[in-house]
Amino acid sequence: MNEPERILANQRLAAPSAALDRRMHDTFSAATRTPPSPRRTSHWWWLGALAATGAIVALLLVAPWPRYPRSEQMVYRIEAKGPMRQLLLEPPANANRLPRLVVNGSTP
Amino acid sequence: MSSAETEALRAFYVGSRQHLYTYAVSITGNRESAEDAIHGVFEQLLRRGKLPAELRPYVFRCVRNAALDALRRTKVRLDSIFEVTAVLDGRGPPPAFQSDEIERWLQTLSPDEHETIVLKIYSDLTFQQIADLRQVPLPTVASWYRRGLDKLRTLVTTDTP
Repeated sequence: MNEPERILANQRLAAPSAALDRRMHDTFSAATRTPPSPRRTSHWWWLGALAATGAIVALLLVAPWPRYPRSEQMVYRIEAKGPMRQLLLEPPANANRLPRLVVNGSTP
Repeated sequence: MSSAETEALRAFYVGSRQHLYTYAVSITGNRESAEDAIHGVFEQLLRRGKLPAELRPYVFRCVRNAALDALRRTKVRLDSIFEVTAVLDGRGPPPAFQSDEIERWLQTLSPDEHETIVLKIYSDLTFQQIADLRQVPLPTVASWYRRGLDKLRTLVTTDTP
């Protein structure tokens, strides 16, 4: 230990007050009496909420309820009328392929 | 917190109260604020679910943060870490230097040098513990300490009666 260290180490330090010791004693005594803190309790609430959410999700996944509408076979018959019918039934001799059929309108 | 941990924390306070107090006063410069900072830290620790594995550096770091907060609020640094009546009360031989003189020397150091010297000499922390507390490399702490002592040595030489 050199000179400055020795001088510093020989100084008498101010001590904490009796009031602080009393406050600390009261705080420790209260902590000993107190059951698990609210923070810890809320921790269990969060765990419970998480478990309940998981259970609901699992129930929804395995439930027998139909998730999509049942598929049904639908048949659409498109009939040409007028000149188009004539063209389809009796195509001109020079036509080597059928005219292109374009259907406009919304589908069900 | 379990009752065993509460008792461990209480034992730590009893064993370290002087170290923590000197450190807190060296930062706040105000004894009342230092006591409030220490009390607040232990209140928060008791509300925690579990104590950290390395309690000593953790508590010192908490006290440092609380003391710095208190310093920002008060911005008044009047109180010394030393007992000013040491010379007058007849307990032991009078020291070669008055406490206010040494306090004045310490105030000439940089904050890092000052804090490191207080932690090393008065709070009994190792360089490694101080490095962990300040979150800086160990050589940096050793350098702060050495530079601080060099400055103090110059002041001692100059002021020696």
